[in-house]
Amino acid sequence: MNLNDALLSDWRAKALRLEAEVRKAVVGQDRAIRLINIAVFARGHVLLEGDVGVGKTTLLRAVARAIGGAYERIEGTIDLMPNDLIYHTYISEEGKPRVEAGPLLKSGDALSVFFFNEINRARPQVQSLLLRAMAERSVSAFNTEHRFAHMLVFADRNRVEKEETFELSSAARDRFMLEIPMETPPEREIQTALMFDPAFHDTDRLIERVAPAVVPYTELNDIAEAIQASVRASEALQHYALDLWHATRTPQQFDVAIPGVDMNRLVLAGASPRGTAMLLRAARVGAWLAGRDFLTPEDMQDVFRQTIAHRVFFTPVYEMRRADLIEPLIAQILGQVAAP
Amino acid sequence: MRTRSRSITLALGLLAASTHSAASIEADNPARPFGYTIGDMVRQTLHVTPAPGQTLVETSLPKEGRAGAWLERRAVAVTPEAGGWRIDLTYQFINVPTELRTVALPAIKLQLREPERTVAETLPESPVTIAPLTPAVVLARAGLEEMRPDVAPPLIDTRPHQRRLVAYALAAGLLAMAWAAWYFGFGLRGRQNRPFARAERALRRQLAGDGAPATRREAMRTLHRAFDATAGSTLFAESLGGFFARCPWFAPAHDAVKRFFAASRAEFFGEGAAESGYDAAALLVLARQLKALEREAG
Repeated sequence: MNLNDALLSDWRAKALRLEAEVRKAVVGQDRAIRLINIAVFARGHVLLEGDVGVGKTTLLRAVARAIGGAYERIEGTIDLMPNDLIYHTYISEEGKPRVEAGPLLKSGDALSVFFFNEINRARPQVQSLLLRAMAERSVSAFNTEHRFAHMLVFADRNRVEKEETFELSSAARDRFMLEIPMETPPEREIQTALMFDPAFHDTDRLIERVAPAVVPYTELNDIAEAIQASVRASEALQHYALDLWHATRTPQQFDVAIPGVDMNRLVLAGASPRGTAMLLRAARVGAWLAGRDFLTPEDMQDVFRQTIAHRVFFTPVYEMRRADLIEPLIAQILGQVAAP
Repeated sequence: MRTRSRSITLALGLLAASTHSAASIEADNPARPFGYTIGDMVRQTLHVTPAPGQTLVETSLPKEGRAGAWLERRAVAVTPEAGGWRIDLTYQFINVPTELRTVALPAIKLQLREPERTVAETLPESPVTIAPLTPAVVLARAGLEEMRPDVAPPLIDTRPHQRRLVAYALAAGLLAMAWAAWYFGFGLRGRQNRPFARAERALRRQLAGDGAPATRREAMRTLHRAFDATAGSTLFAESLGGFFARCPWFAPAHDAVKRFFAASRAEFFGEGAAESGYDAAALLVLARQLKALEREAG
């Protein structure tokens, strides 16, 4: 037990180091960095959402570099097909046709981060292949099953364009542990630095500031399990977590009210059991990063929006206004569900 | 009482008479053939009795509309009756002469169809007299001027409505007073109804018994609910800063409240409150202090 405790605190230092390294390349996004760190140690996939040019790609590249292991990326385009992830064909120098493993298979088991850029530009066929890869960390190709035990999928999606994009299906969104909205840092000094400091203009140089492989990625799965086992959830907290879950399904029973919205008709489907499991996993990692071995309601609240908001589905009449309604709904749920 | 003023039986021609018995039209003419003026309605009813095998040609029925210089046919209604048809005609005088004059309800010509041919039956016109409304020369005497002033419209009796209005107003007033009594009545009793005042009363009751951990937990929950009610949403240790900013009158209890939240966190989520030294007495002291601060703030 003691050994385990020492190991975990050792790993906590490594996790904080990872954050510190990423912060060297990405400024003003401490919250997003913390959330990604939580996802890394909860072994959950991450979907970053934000405007063009806020640093989504830079952030994910920096994290991938700090984690170490093989890193592959693919750009989502409208003509990308599932097979493009699996293999690619070309004519070799000898003039012979060659088939080689695509980005998903190339690194085999060493793949630690698979980065899917602009995921909503890819067709649903590609997304469903990714679903399996994300849920089971395996794909079937070349008559064998390929496993990537250490893979995390980082995807990003810009929310400006709607042309030639495919909205992610609810099943696809449910696979992502965290959906992290990324905004331009509001602080004036940081904005000035981003504008005038040439260091921020060359992304490749920026990424090189990050020390590579600060955590041994092959051990992450074991550590993640150890974290989940070590952080306790008391009876009162379980009660609170269940109430939070139920509040996403039947908000009206928790006196959640949004002006101008018929609460009885707002929610079509609340958070899924998988979603709540991910909420708990993420909250436990948050507690561990905070140096505690027990969960508090604040741990849950801290990741509630990022784990749950994309799993709540509104009825069609309100779904069009999702962007306006989801924040008040989440805030109201957190404000109405009581603990202890 | 309508007199049968005219009864006509028409022979259908000598040749036809030998093979067919004749059809007939009888008219119930207006009750009086005199005393009409512009705007009056005149009703005439025809009873058509066909010979066997004859049917009425519908297109030969008189049409609604202008019927000569004096009359308009307002309605034509045909109803079958025993032995034939009854035709109700309604005329209205739409014109007026300058002096008394004899005019006539128009003659009616109906066609009846037989298997091989169609025969016509005619009802001659019926004279009626129509009189002007005013003499040709208007005498300039009171009441007989050319134009009289407009008649004031008759007034509708509004007294039942007024009585109902008063009754409803009284009922609404009573209801409003009852509601106000209920609403402000609670306000007056609000002194005992404020969150921490209520919680303090509940705590005294809860902690009067044993000091078992379950009781203490229940008491802590009670105090948490009072915090939630005061803050307007659920309050957690990390949101205490905002709470004190919004409700600055609780500032004197700042440290005690922080200790309570820390103890509650340990109790419910952590190792247990045993080592934090937070017991029932401390809980009651805090509740009393908060109640006092709440009262001072009004």
